[in-house]
Amino acid sequence: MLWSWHVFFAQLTTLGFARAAWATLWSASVVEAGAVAGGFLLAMAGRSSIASLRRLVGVYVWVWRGTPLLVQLLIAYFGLPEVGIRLGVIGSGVLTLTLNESAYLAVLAAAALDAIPTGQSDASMSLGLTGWQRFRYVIFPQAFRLFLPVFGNQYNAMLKTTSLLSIISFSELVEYAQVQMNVTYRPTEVFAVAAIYYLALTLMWSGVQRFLEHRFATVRHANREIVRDVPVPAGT
Amino acid sequence: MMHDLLGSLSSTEFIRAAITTVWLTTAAQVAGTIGGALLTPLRMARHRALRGFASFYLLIFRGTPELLQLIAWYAVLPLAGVNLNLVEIAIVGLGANEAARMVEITRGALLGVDPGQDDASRAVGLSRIQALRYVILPQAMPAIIAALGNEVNIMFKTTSLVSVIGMTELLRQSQLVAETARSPLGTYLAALLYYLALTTLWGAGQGLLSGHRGQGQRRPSLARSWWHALSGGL
Repeated sequence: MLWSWHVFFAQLTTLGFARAAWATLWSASVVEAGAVAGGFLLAMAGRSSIASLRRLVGVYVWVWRGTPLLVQLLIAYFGLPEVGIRLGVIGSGVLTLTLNESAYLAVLAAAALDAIPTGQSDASMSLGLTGWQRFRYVIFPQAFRLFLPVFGNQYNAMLKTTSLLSIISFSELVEYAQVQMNVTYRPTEVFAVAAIYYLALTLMWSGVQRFLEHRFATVRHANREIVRDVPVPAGT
Repeated sequence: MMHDLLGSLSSTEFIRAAITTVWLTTAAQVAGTIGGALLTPLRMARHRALRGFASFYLLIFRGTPELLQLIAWYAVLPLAGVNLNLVEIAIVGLGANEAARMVEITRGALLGVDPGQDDASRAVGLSRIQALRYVILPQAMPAIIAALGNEVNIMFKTTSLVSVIGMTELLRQSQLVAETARSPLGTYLAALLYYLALTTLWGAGQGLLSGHRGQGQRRPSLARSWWHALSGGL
């Protein structure tokens, strides 16, 4: 028999799947948070005035984007202990994903930074802002708005990419589904439940993404500022 | 470590596994491109049921991890009475996912063509199909081909997922060797270098192709545009 509603609902309502979904959610979130920082740092280093630093960033992006994540994970988990680096399942998994994702986000962050007209930097320089102030108060806020929609897509993809952590036995959704499949011999129902959890997670994220993009939208912001700044005449 | 690294790099098993990765990439990309070409008209159809089917397909295959899909194909197909060998399952699994990605690429490229082009072709008496075939598609093609190049690059890396269902390509081969090797690190680094070589060489091919585009402006040197693509402009 290929499908049983009984097994399906039993799996859907177990705590184990909810826990595995939580593992997927937090690992993706930790990785993306770290990778945003890493990505912007790499992008800034890649646009610095030091040629050797720029070249180093280029090589970093080339190697991390040019090889499969699965190989990178195996090297971090099974290979590095050989040279005395033991990071454990969570350590090596999260670190590898973060370093990998940083390379992808660096390219997107660099594109966002490049899109800000140089006049912005010139103007803030003429106002006497220091290099850090120029970045923090003028360039970054504008670049971040451009970066946000693509970051949303990256986070969405990361929810699914964390499934690769199952190869080093990190207990997220796919790993848990495989264990359940071996226990129950009901792959169809188990995978359907896992798929539903993934769809629920990505659906949830698109809600958050819409909220964030609305929150940081320039036009709405400007309108509100203007409305707030208009002095209300007395007696109205 | 160096011993295992160099030993793996030059072993015939690794070279054979790399060839497997290359042809699996090709087969899966061809399957996905054909699937995408068949699904795109459904996704853009006027009929609601057809559009609904395509949207559901995209939801499932874009909304769940490819790894989960591969394991599901591997475990569920035999239950449904469909007996395929590992290679066939790998091509079906990778191809079905790639088809969904290709639908989005093709659809985006078709929608990117100015709608006035369609209006004008219809006004001069072309049928809907003729307008698509002779006017819209030729203009969408450059965008599709450029995206296809990136898809192949991603596919080189994605094929490593089929190691999980036991097909012996580059990654599975390195896992097999690493089990008995004195240095798993060296073995996996060898696999890493093989993949890096494949994607880098493909990047050069892409650079060659795109180097011929863009008339008028001063073209950057081939090596420069190659490196630009590999390092993402960083």
